[in-house]
Amino acid sequence: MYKFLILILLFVFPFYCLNAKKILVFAPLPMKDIDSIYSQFSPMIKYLEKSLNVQVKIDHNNSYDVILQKFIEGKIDIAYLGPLPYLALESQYTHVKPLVNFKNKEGKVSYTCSLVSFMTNSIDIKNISNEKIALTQPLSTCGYLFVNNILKKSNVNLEENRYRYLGKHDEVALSVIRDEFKFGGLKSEIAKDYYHLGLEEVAHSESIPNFILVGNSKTLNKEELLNIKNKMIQIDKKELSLWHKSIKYGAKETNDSDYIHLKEIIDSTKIPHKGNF
Amino acid sequence: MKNKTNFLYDIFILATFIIGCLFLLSIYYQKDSKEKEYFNENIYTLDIAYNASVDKYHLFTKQVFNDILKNELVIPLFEKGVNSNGDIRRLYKGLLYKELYPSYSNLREEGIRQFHFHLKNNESYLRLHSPNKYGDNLSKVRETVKIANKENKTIINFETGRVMSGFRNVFPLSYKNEHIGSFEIGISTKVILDSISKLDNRREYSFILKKDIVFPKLFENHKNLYQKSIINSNFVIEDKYSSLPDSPKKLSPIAKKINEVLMGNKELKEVMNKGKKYGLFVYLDSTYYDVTFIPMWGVSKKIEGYLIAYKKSMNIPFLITNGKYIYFLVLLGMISMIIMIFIIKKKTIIFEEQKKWFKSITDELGEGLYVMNKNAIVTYVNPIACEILGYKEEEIIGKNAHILFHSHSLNNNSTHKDCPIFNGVMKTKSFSSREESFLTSDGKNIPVSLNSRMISNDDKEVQIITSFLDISIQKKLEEKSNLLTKALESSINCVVITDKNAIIQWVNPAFERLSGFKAREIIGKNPKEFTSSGEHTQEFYQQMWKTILSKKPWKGEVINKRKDGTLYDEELIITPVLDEDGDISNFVAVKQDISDRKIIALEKEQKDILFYQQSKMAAMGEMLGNVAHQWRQPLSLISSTATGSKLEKELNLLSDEDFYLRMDNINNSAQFLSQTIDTFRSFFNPSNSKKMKFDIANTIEKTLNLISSQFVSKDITIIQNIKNFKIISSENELIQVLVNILNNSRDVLIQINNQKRLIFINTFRKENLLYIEILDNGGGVDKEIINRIFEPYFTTKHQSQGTGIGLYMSQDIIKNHLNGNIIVSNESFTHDNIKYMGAKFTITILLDD
Repeated sequence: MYKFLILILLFVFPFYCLNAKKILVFAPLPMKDIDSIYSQFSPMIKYLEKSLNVQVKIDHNNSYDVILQKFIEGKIDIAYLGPLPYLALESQYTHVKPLVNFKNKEGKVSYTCSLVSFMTNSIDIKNISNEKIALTQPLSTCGYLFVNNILKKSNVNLEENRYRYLGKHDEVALSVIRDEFKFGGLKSEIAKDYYHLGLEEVAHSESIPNFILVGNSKTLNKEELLNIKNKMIQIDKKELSLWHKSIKYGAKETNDSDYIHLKEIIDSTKIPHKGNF
Repeated sequence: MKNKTNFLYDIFILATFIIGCLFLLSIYYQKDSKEKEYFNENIYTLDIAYNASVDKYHLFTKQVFNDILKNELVIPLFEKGVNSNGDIRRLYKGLLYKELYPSYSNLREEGIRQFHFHLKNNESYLRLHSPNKYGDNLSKVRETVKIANKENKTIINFETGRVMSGFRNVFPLSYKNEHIGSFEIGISTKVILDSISKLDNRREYSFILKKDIVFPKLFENHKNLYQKSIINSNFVIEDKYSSLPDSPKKLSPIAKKINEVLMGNKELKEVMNKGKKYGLFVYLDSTYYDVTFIPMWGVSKKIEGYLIAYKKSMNIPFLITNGKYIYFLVLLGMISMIIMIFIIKKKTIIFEEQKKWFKSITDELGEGLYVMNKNAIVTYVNPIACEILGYKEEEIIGKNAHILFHSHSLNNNSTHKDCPIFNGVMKTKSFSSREESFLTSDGKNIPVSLNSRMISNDDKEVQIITSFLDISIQKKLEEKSNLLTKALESSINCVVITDKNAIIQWVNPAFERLSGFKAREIIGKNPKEFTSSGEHTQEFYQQMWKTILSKKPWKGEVINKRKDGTLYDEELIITPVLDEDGDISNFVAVKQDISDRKIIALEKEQKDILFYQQSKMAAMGEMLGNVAHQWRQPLSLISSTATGSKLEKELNLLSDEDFYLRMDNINNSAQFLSQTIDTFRSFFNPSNSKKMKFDIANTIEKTLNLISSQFVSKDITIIQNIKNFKIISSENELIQVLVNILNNSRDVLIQINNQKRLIFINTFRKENLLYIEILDNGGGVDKEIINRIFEPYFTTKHQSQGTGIGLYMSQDIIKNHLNGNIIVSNESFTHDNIKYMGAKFTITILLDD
């Protein structure tokens, strides 16, 4: 009797395994609140689940560092990263595989960061010192790296002002609206969502390679990585129309050369991991 | 009877079934009632907790709203923003956000989830909880907002939304008495659930939302957060992963299991679709859980969702927890009862059938049977007893048997206490007698043979069963049998009874006397062992056995041997006795010692030979007379012709012609004489006595030739009516008989002178018999002697004329030689219109066709 049951189990188990869906852990950058994150990525997750026949689980983390650490530890299969987190990860983890860059409205795989302030703020950035500046995260491209770079162009030293990491881009925007900070650095696309509350762009960056979807070759094989990349590139317009505006314009295979300039900036910038007040 | 019994038991079974069903129904209703009571209490407490929580937050939000209104900047900032556009609106909107954010931020800790300003056209103006979303028109998705703006009144209700669902408190906003829009303070479902949990922490709570209400409202991006409820596919679970901060916490594993159990509950689905409050038990892992459902109505009176509470059941009424056991016990009881009734029914039917069978046996019993109690009162009587006694059943039942039909007069006028049957059976429990008499209804005493037995059951109830038989006929038969036995024993004929194998079973004393053997010596033996004389051939015995084995009686004469070795003749008739199947069971041999008869027969034979010789001699005398008579004329003719011719020759008168003529006459006469001699010689020739085929007409002609001369001379006319038939017999013996009869008639007729002398000879056939009738008109035979005329030496003639042997011999010849018969009778007849009386001899001989 037991032998018979074991035989049945041996026969059934392979089929069970074949039919069991693989779980992919997806980590988006915590640029917004959780509601918004879910809202932003739900259609994409649904698409990947359907086209790859997998189950995609969101691993929400508030810290970019945590995401990168989890990725290295193999706890995350795919991640939606900004260029800076990507380059930071790439520099310390060889199994990170760039899959696609998301296009913007113009079809380019780039975005910009904006330095914003409330519309009643009349302070010129060329003359600022000791002003409160809201930053996202140390590893955020639009954070210290961008703000420092843009202020440097106006011969303003960020270190001479008071900056603090607020974590999310939208929090940067809202804190500026609430006049808790005079300036803030965040992704231009997100900043636009808050213009209706009196937020205004003071300056913006040059084109930065857009957010990237990366895969973990430690947890995914080549075929799976290629499959994800292809599925992300081959999305039809009808499907894309349901997606969040940050990713609704399609994706393109990552080109490493896009990151050369950014690498140079990063290399020349020492990013503090804590605010200075 | 069987059908009636069946019907009664079927009714009983049906009644048991109905009562059982009613009992089950009663338990069901009681259980249902207890359940309703239990769940009503659950629903009531949950309802109170729910309403208390909603009311609490309503009061809280009202307070919050009032506090906000106290901020003098809020309404003006909103008004300015509403009534401006472009950068000015952006500015005032930003300032409004800035102004309210501290309050909002603080109130989030208190459970407030949403601060939402709407324009009076229901367009979203500012969401503090989601500031990047604005400008969407809520008219179609937010009824609370629509009504608040339309009717300018506060609306408090649960409502699904574009992002999440919650408890909405929508307050209309006015500036300088002008309605400018509305402000909504939203409480998340999580907050309400947490509040209810604080009020009643025994339960676990969850919300599910009506799919067709919530889905049309949702932002497309948010639909993926919802999952179909496994309890009811018309409902969805909000934020299936509880990934959002304001989402209620995930269900516990036990609640999930309970939901899985409820998955197929159609009644629950039906109730939920109707929006009713509901409660039910779920039995899981040996524990009862009660699950309570409270509908959450939208402002448009449509069900927007359900509040579900899970709780480990406590103080469940016994009837609920053990209902199924009670059902089982009742059902078991009912089934057992029905099975028991079925068994009783079956047994009763068997009993009835046995009773019927017993009654049919007693009814068909050849004996009378009655049952009486210890007081001799008849309790049962069978039909044959009624028939024997001449009473109807009801005339006997309940009556004292002794008084009613026990024949007192023939039983020493005994009273019932002295009744030999009653006393006998009461003393020894059984009584048998063949000497009792019963009195029939018509007062006739009948002898009876009876057997009585007393039986008593466990209740010591005594019953006396008496079977009796009217032995009147038996008695008569016994008497007859005794008579028969006596007759057989007294018979002078020997009677031997054997079985079918000829083994002797019984012999009578006559046989003992004849054979010299005693019965005890020969019973069980075959007669051939001791009686065989050796005088008979094997074929003789084979012929005997062949006959009796063909079931026919055998009759014959046998020479057997006595015990002393002497032989004796016996006339033996062996008759086979057949049983009911027609097979031979016995042989009965009746034998008679015919040794004496044999001697007599021998003597008779010798006598008959003598008679025959005498008869022959008489016949010869007669014949000689006839010859003489017949010869007389031709001799006279010869003589006269010879003497005449001699004289004429002497006278020379004889011509040659006359001479030849006369010679021819003489020669003819001589031929006639010679023929006569041949005729008589033939009659007396013994070789002509052998059996041969001959014509009866020719035989009668021969007879008449022998005797005609004497009849002609006596003027006796013989009238013949002869029909010829061929017979096989002894012709001469028949002629001898005919001559005897005709001579008797002649001797009678010659004494008659005053009338014609007539003899009629008729032959005819009737069936297979040849009839020869000889009738004369001689006046007949005197009645006194007519029966004696065939006796030997009986004659009415003078001694010189008759010997008295003729008719005796005639009868002997006809009967013993020709196997025929001869009778005589007187007959009157008319001939030529003259009436005559005469004797008629009728000879019948079997024709051999």
